[in-house]
Amino acid sequence: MALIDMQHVTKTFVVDRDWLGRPVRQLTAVHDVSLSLAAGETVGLVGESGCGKSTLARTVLGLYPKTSGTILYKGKSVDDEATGRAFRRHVQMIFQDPYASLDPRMTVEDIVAEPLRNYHLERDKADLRCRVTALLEEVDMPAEAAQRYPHEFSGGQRQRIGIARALALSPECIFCDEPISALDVSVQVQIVNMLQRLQHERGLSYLFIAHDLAMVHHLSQRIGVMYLGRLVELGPSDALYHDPRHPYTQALIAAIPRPDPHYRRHDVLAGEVPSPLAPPPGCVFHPRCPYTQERCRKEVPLLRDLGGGRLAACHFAKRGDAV
Amino acid sequence: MATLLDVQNLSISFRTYRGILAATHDVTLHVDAGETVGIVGESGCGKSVTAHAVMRLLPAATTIYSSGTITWDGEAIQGYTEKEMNHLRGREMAMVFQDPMTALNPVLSIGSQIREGLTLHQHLSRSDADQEAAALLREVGITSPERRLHQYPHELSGGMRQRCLIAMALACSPRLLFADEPTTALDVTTEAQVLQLLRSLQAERQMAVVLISHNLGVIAQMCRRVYVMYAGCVVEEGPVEAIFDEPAHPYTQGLLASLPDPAHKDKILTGIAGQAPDLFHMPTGCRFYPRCRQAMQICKRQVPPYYTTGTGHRAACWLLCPEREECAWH
Repeated sequence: MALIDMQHVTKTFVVDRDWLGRPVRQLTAVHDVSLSLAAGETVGLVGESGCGKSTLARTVLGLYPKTSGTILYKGKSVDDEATGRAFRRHVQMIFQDPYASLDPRMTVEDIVAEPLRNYHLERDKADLRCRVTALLEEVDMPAEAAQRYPHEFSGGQRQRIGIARALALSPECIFCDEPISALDVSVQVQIVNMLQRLQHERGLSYLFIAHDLAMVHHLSQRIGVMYLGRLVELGPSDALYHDPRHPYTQALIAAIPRPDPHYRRHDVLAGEVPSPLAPPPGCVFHPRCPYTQERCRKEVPLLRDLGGGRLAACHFAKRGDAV
Repeated sequence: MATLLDVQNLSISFRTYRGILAATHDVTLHVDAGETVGIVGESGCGKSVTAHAVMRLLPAATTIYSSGTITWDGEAIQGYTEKEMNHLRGREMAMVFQDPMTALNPVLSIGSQIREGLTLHQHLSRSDADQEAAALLREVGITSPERRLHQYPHELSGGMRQRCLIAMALACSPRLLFADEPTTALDVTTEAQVLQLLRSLQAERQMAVVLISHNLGVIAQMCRRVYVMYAGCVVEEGPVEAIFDEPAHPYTQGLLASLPDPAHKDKILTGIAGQAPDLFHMPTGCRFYPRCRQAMQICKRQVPPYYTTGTGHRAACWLLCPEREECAWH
């Protein structure tokens, strides 16, 4: 049984209302996404800005109310009060911007202790302090850091503080929303290696959201690719990276600047992502797709099973699991 | 090829409330006419400061030029007056900035921002400048350019804004273009489009480009020669193949080891331990030694000189010293 099972999750934002408060314009940020996460597994979620990957994570966690769909935690719907409470405690999140995600007026100790206080898990002050020190130690921060404020730390150290806060409630799963994209290359590696160590030690699951496909491939067992709010491809990490089936995934992988001066780049994907307020009919990728046919303009492709645990939402994606 | 820009031993620091901040130290680099040179390094390594110093865009009141010379086309330009610099900027050298959201003026139309350079430097009339601006926008791949001239920055996407910035920089056909992290704010497919555009413009116009980036992939794809900077110093320089195939400095090696290898998914990334030094308290000796796995006693005491390891390839590291074995340094 999957730890978290998202079924047909859709999130629509109302952009404009008329004078009676009825919605006139809506933006579908996440459209019918189904994704599951097993215990101890890392699933990567990639896509360009505005594709809905962060919105999906926030909607699943209940930071935005979902428009439709079901979210199952250990097989039970999180709409059920008791399940929902357990779910919110055991699924935590770390955020992209290490500068904005920590309250500048709180000491590091208060930040890391806040979840413990919220759930009344501390016995007394000494116990709380002891637990904060242990958490900081787990993310390779000195105990002295507890009495200092976020602005005294570098971006990488702040991200560690954010991770310590997420670990406070001993979660089963952490949603990592672009946790390394604001950091320098050498610091990224430190955070990535630490996330892997924590996963190994605590048996954590990760939903790892990023736009750096190479790093997502390195970290994840499975990768989901999103475009304009839709999940367009899902599959085992290696297979998807080395043999992408959806034309968008192919373009995304071809566009990665390779750190190899001998590598010659393929054709560059033309055009821009359409406005999510007016997504194109049929396949949402058809205006930019190099293989567009008549059928793509009319018929919405469904996420199809291609064998080998692979799925792609393209009429012409080839089957088989050969890499 | 003729040397267009020659920077020798440039050291720059800033006066701040916390004291003197050392931004660059002894930076030496040159750019030949028509070549693409990369400057790579992490935030705070001094790569942008170097470019801004050449164009004299740093705040005059707080910047200290402690040493070094900047030579443009055989002439020392540090003694230039502001008026003389205005002749160089835009016409001879131009810059594309990182953030297309803040580099454009939100209250001026795209057209008037591109026209500015054309009327100022080339003394074109308004209608000629308009035509020229439209031609520039077409050259950078913007559709229906005449309509775009009347639009404002907020009406365009990030990729389009970056193209407009490139058009602005190209307006007076500069001989050198500084591209300061031109694609950092963009998505990966847009990034690929902008890089392709820069590459074709560079080839067509025979213009020299200095590409400043933290992204090793971007540098590898675009540049002929590379300077690697760390904590204000150039630690390694050389042809792009040498830098990526046989990196000589432990910092460059560490940067490359920080990138995941798609062919070996489960290999643990080694990266670099620790963090970049505080610019107010630079370590003595080699600035990288506190993070270096191969640091020796001497690294702490003395700044390493440059050692040549191949044609045009040199690095500042004591490990490369030929007499290393004889001296009991370790």
